[in-house]
Amino acid sequence: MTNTMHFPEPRAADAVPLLEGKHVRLRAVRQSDYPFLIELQSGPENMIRWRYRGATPSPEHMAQSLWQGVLAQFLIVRADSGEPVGLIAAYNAEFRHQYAWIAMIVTPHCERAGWTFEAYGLFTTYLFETFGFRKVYLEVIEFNFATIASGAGRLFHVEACLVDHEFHLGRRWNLYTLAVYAEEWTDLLKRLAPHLLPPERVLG
Amino acid sequence: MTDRADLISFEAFWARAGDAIGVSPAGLEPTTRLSADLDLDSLHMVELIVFLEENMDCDVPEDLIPALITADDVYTHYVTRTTNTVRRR
Repeated sequence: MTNTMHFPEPRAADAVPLLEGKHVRLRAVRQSDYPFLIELQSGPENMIRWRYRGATPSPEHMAQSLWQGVLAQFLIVRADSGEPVGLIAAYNAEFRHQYAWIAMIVTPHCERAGWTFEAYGLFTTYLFETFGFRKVYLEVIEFNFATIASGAGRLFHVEACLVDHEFHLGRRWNLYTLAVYAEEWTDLLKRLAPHLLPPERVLG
Repeated sequence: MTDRADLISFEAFWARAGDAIGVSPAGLEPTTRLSADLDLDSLHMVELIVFLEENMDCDVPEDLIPALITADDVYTHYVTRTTNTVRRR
């Protein structure tokens, strides 16, 4: 018998995700990275802001919980030297409703460097391109939100504020939920990091 | 010889930069501090660096970023880079 079904011409694609920018590269986490990651999460500059919120779990617990609820995560390394500078993760992904949460932590000496934004740009593109999410959310505590507040309504949406939600440093702080929409992402990248725009995928 | 014809003035530079990062340059002076006076935050700085690199063809080395304290620091970097680039051509 002859197969009479007709299918569209198969398309070729550049199937390599963009994981490197001018300043940083995202690479898979290895076991040998664990000492760096434990130090990163438990250092005084990050211990309140990161997930443990001031608690000091054992190194074994930190290593185990590194993957709890995680869909995808990468070590952030400098593009020029390969030196690890942070971690970025997508967690609590909800495929039915097409969203995930993003968390990022960087070493204190990179905290104020604008170029670490590249990691966030690369990773968000990866999430939208790979998993088809409609939105990604970021949970940001008030004292961190102050450093990015200018982006509200322009670069991200503030979708929730839990008032006096967390207790740190002797007082209560608000917790904000920020959202970035897939449909706005390309325009946002053009504005903030045009060199990170993904290439045209379909070839020929 | 250095051809400075392509350089724009401090006022014109900041009119364009202010537009790019969503900040009014009204009343801006060379001594105006980006963070303390103009209230620029981390995202403003990302946008400012993109403006310099993409619109003004002016690279911003990582180690220079912390030294960009005043409006004049940014403008001077633009002038220096543009002048050096022209010189090299």
